[in-house]
Amino acid sequence: MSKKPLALIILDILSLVGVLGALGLILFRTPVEATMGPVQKVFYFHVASAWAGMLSFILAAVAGVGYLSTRRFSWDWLSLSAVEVGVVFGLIAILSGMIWALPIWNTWWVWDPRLTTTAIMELIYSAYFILRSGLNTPESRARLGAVYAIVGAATVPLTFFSIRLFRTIHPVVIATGNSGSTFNMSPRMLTAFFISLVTFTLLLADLVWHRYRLAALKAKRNKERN
Amino acid sequence: MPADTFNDMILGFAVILSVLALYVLSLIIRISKANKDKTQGK
Repeated sequence: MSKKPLALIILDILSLVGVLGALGLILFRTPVEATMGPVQKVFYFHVASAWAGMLSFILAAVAGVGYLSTRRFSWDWLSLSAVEVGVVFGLIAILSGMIWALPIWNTWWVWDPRLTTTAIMELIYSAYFILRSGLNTPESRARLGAVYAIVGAATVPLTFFSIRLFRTIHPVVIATGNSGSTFNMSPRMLTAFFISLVTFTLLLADLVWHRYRLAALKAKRNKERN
Repeated sequence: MPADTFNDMILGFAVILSVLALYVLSLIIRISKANKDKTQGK
């Protein structure tokens, strides 16, 4: 494998420092929410994970368009990497949401529009790997993977806007006016919230970059073997 | 008075950080294996 670029090393450090810093800020500097108590603090990483997952799926779709228009495999490696990392962030968002829901809603799961669309999105992107593993040639994997990533991206706006389109019990975090069950954040809560979003965006870029390098390495190894 | 949900918060962060750590570990193992395969291939 080629030497690790300096920018990637810097991104590794920034991501690690960002996660630890955001965690410290959330645990020790943000106030405890008046009714939910300490479990509300999970919300900062929960929303940031959901954001990173959705961003990753959009990136996969963009890379899919890139592959279909250029037929360069580097776009396919990017699309594959973005889907894999997006599924990890999606899983974190679902699990952390379930842990928050148990004491607040008194149940792990309800078939609420936001939870349902998130689960569908996660399942659709998990099936992406089944599709790829069933195809024999790198060309067919890349072509069908690209089409699947583009079509699958329709679930991202559906999930994002589900709490605005349907009646839901899921809190609305980013809201204009009095739509849904919003909750007001104090300035310190808002700071922790935006730092978490930035940190998880950096972490997403870092993980996708590492996964891309792995995909490139595997593709080169396979080419040398054949 | 806020609800006593301290243990739920700890569980939440433990799960989030564990999933992240497991994925990073899987990346490290796969990259290391791919590098080894490439070296042996040569």
